[in-house]
Amino acid sequence: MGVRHVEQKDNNRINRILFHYDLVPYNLAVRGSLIRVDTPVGSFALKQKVLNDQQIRSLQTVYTLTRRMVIDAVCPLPSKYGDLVIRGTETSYYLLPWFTETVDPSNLQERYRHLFIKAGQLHRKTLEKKADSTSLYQGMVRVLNQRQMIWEQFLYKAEHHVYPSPFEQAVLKSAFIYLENMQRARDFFSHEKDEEGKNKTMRRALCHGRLSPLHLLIENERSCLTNFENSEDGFFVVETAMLFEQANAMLGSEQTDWQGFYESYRAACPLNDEEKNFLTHFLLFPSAHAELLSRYLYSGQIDEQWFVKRWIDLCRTHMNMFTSIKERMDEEQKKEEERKAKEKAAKEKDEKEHQ
Amino acid sequence: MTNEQGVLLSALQANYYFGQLRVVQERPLLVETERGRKKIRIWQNEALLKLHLKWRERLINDDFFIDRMYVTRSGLPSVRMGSLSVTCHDAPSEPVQLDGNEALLATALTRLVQYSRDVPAEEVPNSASVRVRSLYEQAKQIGFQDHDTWKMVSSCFSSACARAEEADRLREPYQNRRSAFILPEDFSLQSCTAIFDTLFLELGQSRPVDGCRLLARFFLAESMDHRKQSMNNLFQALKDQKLFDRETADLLQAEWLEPGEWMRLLESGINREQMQSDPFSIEEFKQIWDQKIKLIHLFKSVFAQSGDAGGGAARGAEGQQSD
Repeated sequence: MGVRHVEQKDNNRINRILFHYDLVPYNLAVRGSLIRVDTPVGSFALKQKVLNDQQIRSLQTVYTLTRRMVIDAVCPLPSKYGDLVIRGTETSYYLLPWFTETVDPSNLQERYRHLFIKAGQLHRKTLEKKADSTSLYQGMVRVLNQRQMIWEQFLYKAEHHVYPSPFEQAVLKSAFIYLENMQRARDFFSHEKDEEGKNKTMRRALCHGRLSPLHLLIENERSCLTNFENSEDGFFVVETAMLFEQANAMLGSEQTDWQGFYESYRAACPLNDEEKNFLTHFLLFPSAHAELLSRYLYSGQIDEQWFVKRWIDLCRTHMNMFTSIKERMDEEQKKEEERKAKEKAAKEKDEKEHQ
Repeated sequence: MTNEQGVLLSALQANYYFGQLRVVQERPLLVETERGRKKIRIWQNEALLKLHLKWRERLINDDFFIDRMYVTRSGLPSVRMGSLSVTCHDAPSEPVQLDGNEALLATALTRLVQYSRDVPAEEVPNSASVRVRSLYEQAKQIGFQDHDTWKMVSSCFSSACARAEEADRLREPYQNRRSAFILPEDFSLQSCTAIFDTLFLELGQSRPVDGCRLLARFFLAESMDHRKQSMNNLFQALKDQKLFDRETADLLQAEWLEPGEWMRLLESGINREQMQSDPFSIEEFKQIWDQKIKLIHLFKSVFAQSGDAGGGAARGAEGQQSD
């Protein structure tokens, strides 16, 4: 990460911010989007960001949860006046403890491994009661419609070409699988009511809002989520599903232990049957595929080779991720059924002996 | 160190994140810490403390600092000690001069006028012209003896009346306002210190009073101490901020127009007759009277160019000079 010393003219501006913390720096250096502040009492990261009232409230919520040891997160440090954020006319500032990261930002495998654990812990520790999930299911149908529309536009165009391009050919070859998957997902998300005709309910929890391998700080064995300004209460399974989707697109053709990721999350935050179903059906209509099709439709200059390679990578990784997670879920299901069968058998045996 | 001070210091040490504490001044109480010099304020009136806390909240900004309360280890803005409350504040010591700091002061004053507001702090005073006339009549009735003072008072009476009437006229539209500009009773340039190229403004712990009255006195005092150019720069900077509204402009002029110095001279004379001492010389009176006229002219010359100066203090300000 590039290091740049802070210009003299900015010094007083930064000193004015640091005065809120009674900190007197002996060194200031720009590190990416942060300013590293070295003082006799330690090193800190000063962040400048445009924040609205809602985002500041979110930071305060997470700060309270962290202070009460409910969750483990890197939060802004309060100023001497008790403010978490120093508000300016245009931008705001906050101060964090400096983390000497031991995992490079480019090591996405390791960062995602930590991220799945931390996401699971965040959701589990802030778990709330179930709530009516009708609007969530309806929202999912809307997302599905948007993605399906892109597919239809692409296929319509490709099918009308006498000679489809290499990329179009590659997509056409796998289209039937995805179209079928989308139909399965639609069937699932169109059913907002359970078998008894009641609205389905799902568990809520605090969601980070912007889970990303860069919003996680890792120092040796300790890792903490940070950048909580967009956090809010919600149906956490959506965040989990989107994390898988994001990791899938980011990790591309890399060899990835998807079962390990799923297991890490599940160990911290076990999912119930409805949530598992939600997750698997959400992963049936991946955003990265639709985005690539859209990009192909609307970009001027097209590198066919790159698009074909990206498509093949995406399909392969998606298939790999989906089958790995499904396999692990099926194993879980099988084990659960075996456990129940054993319990039932033991109970029957007990009853017989008592008779 | 007295016993009470010892108890206070240990309470500070227990409640704030200070390693070392050393008293460097008793009144006001200043303590030196590893995090700089701090001012300790003791509050007997809990309602006043709450008012000051809210007041500071409204004034938080990134142009200048306010002497906000440090939070305690448990996140509270004060420490309770029996019936008293104790607060801790920064205490920068670099004084601020008007010369060269006009723009900074203008920014701070503009913000104060905008956000340092509350329900009017005081009872609406009687009309200035009624006070001028009744005082004059009272002086005549007791048979005023001091010839020189009486000569000056009576020669300025018609001007004093005109100024008082003009002040009343300017104030009239704002008699029933719900929100008024307020300032702490002890506000002055000494309330400001400099830090990191900006101002540190002490709201202190005095009760809030009419801000326009105090600001008018502040301008008057500064105009007597500083060269005209400096005041001109300050007014110009205030005009540039475009936030010095008509109400404030009118009320400031009303304060300068109100012939307080004339009433003071007369009262001083009456008191001397009655052997009460409140010495206020004719020279002092002349100085203030003339300075106010100059100040109104300067204010109008800067603000009136674009019609910002408010209701127009034409008649009163044109009033004759004392000599």
